[in-house]
Amino acid sequence: MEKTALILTDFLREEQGKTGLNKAVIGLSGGIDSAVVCALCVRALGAENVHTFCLPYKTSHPASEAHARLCAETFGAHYQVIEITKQIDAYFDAVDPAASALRRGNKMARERMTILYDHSAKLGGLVIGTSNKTELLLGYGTQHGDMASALNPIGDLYKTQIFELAKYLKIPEPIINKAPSADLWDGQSDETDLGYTYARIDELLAELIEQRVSERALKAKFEPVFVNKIIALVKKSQFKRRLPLIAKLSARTIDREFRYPRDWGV
Amino acid sequence: MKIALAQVYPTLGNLAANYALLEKEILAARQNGARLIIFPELALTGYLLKDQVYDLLPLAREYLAKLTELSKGINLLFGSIEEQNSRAYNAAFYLSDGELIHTHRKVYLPTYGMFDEKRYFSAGSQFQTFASVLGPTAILICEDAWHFSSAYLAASAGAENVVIISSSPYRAGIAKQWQNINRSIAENLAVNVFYCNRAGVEDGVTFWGGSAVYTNDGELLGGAAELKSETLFLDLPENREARQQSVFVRDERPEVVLKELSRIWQSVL
Repeated sequence: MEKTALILTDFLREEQGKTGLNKAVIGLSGGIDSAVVCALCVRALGAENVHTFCLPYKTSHPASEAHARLCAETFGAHYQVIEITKQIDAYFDAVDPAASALRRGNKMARERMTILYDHSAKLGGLVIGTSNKTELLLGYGTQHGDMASALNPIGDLYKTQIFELAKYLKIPEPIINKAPSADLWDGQSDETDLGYTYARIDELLAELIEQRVSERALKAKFEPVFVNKIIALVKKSQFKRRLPLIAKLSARTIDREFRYPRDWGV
Repeated sequence: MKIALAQVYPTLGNLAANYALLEKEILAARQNGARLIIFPELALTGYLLKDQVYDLLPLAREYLAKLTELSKGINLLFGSIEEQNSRAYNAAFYLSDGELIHTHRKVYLPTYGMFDEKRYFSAGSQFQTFASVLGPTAILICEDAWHFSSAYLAASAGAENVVIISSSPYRAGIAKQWQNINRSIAENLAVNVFYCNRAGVEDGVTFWGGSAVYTNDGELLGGAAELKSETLFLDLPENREARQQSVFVRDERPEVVLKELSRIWQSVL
């Protein structure tokens, strides 16, 4: 994990440095992923350059804010709480009081995104992503919400690897030990939502993605229902991991023939 | 003889900045009494160029001329892009005392996984041996070294030194794979291996460093740090014994390889 931490801090320092902006803007949920990202950013950029925001809704668990605060205090990052209840309620009261919990949750995630991007403009910084490889693969995130960022240091680490990295980075125990939750509604739990534990999901994903084991071979080893469900989630969420499709007309369509590195001229 | 391996961090697509970086390293190496300084693959341009390959070819030619001037009083090996007969190559240049002595064009262009080199480059087709300050020498560029036949051909042509330059991205297990490749080339073919990789980050990809020199008995002479820029200065010992005792040098029968390979290839067809 020492090498991983070193590579990720170099990644943050170098890719941030190329943009000429030196501040990191992070949404702290009180969970382990954003805590790990906060710790990495403090290592890479110095605590004075790390601005964290806790953005609770009225139903957010009080422990979430307490853990977000604990994380920011532990690593010495700037910390601010901005409630999003008013604008979320104003929207749904006016437009659709019967909206589902999922729609409300997505709206909250996108509201948080706009606040983080607003602060990145105010502070001269970049929004640092907190989506891990497991949730990116399963599509367990909101497109243009928590999935939006300029740089993501942890997107190639499975959730189970995040736990290891969290221990190495000395993330406070209460944050490591609690059950992972998106906290979009009361009592929500990732593992209940997904129907399986992260340990099992990651074991399957490691074979499916890293080893490219065939579906047939996976079904000999894991429960077929489980394999079907995970593969379906990965396929169904492919669009979330890609840029919007551009209808091809010219000889040099953006990203098809017009290919430049992201670090072009920086 | 003192040599330098410059494990540098070039800026992607910024040839002026990279020329300044190379110049600084070359002057320091000369001051330190090094006879030869080696830079990584695409050290003048950066690695993940994509469409910038075409944009930067004319500029790369200008900087090659400037580096040739800079090679007065030292020997210099570095990677860049090259235009030849309207084709683009991933190339390595050996310059000596103001003259371009040798060009190697990468033969094996990785186009799998994260690599897309065939999209931008044409492939070279030769592993030539040339006289460098080290003695008979051949150059391999990164993926070339992953095909054992490349080093075998170079050694068969009399190379006693194999310089391998790379822009090798970090991923789990990569350092060990390279160490095995470099050591086995050195040990099996009784050649000195000079491995020069780069450092730095491009588009989220980290280059892992770990440049190293193996002497012709397969022993590690010295290595640079992983994951950061460093210039490694080493004194290269003379080891005639390893070559005299090498069964490859003494007993290898290239005519058998040629005959058998031709028979095998015919039967495959």
